[in-house]
Amino acid sequence: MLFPTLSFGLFFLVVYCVTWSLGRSNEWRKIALLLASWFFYGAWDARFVALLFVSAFVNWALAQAIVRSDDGRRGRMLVTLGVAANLGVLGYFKYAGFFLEQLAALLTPLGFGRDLPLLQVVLPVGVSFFTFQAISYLVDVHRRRVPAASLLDLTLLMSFFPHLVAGPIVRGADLLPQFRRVPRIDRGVVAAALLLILWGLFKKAVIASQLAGALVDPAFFDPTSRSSFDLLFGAYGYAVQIYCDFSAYSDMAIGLAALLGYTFPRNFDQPYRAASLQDFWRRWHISLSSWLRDYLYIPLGGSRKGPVRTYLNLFLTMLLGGLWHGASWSFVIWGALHGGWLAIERFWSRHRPAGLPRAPRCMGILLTFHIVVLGWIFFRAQGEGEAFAYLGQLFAGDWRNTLVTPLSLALVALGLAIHAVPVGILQATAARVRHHAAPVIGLSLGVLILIVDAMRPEGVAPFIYYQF
Amino acid sequence: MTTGAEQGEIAEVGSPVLVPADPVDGVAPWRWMTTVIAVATLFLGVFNAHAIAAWFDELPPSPYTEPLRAPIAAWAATTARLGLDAPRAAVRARWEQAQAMRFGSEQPGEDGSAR
Repeated sequence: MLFPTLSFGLFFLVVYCVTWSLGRSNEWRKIALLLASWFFYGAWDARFVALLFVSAFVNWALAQAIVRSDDGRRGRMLVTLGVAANLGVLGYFKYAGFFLEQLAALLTPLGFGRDLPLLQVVLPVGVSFFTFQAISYLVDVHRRRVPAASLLDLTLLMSFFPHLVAGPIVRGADLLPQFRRVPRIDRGVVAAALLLILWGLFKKAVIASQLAGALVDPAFFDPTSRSSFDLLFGAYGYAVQIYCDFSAYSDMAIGLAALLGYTFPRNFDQPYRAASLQDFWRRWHISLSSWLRDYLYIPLGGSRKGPVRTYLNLFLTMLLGGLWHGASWSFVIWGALHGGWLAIERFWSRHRPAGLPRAPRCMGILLTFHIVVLGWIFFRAQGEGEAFAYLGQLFAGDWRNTLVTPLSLALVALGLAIHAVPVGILQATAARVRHHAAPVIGLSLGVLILIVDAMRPEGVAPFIYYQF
Repeated sequence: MTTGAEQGEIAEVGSPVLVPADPVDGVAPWRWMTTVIAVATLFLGVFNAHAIAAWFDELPPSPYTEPLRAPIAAWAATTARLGLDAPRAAVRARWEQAQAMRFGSEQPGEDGSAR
């Protein structure tokens, strides 16, 4: 059940009516939301609803045991067990097949490869998101950052349908306190939520879908048959497509949760206006980058153990961040590129000659954007071989256009231009919208949704981040 | 310990739905929200009935859907007869014109020819 579909629209209307009709009964409201979330998840594969519940139950039991343990060593042991169990779930579903393939490739020359089993594991949608959420919850309970939650609250935290399948990774510290009180709503929040949903719908159904079909998919399908010009705009197009696709999901998730009375944190902040890669990661998929910072980079030692360990920690964090996206060498290379460049940036900031004039900010933005686009080629290509073939053809020097249409070019330009929009424009618009009569806003919303619907292609492709 | 881990992400990066307070915020907010959603839904039910019928046609037949199939198709036909689907069709036609525009001889739907 994808957000920009009629099926989801009807589902949400029912959930909206039921949850708000439960009035001040917070427990029944949460039960209704939990059942709705399981129904939503079960629409993909009902078998994995059990996985979701078992995962929440085990993490709840471990957190209770951590809270009761007076002994620091026992608490550490329990949190280690919990992290290992969560990583075990992720490892089995996401990486077992990949690692067995690599092992087979290593052992085949020695004559043992054929004895290894071939593992085809169905990946539960959103498993990377809810396992990371569970890990951060256990660590936060162990460090007394958040109190242990009730079974209902924790299960709802991990299952809540707006963020369940593609994030943002909403932490217990953000959502659990909201679950403990009856949600309240105000016109400003509602106006911002409706604008976010509409904007997300436009980005996904119009910009991302059009660019995918008309520019990016043909460019990446067989890059050796395309010109350098086509591939250059194919890569730019993918940069816009993935931003409009993933940020659209986040926007809609934040908006939908807000209409139910819950606040999610920001997940994107105009990432292509970043003037360094470090800045980019403060603006792109913020909930993942801050998760990696708080639960991986800092525990590895962060920048506290000298420059060499800092560079290594940056590199390792991004390498593992790349592997989080999927079990393939393309994602490893993507993570290594980001980690390596972050380390170079850190080295340069420490060793930059004092008298050297600073480059203008626009140079930093251009350079960062192109490093990110280079990474996206590995991220989008079917494999590392295809990515290198894409790069080879990109520099072949054939500048004919066989692919880029005026509409594709305009959408790439629009996707980049929205990064120049003043910060806070959505809130400013919401602040105006809330003063108007509801029928006027309802009609306007209807007209704008109708326009978006008229421009969308037949059918909607799944969000890119569903596969993670 | 970082801010994000101590207090949650909202304290660190904010949320796009948090708008500075205004006295109008508390004026019947639930009724306002529900009216907005209801009006938008009704508008789309009238002016985009074709999309509802198309979506319904793709649903697998079941004892729950079959009794609704004919009324939904009839509603879509009625709105079309009254010309209520014209605004959507006009936007769609313009969009398809934009999709068909070319700089020269580029053919995004076909294999490239660089090889």
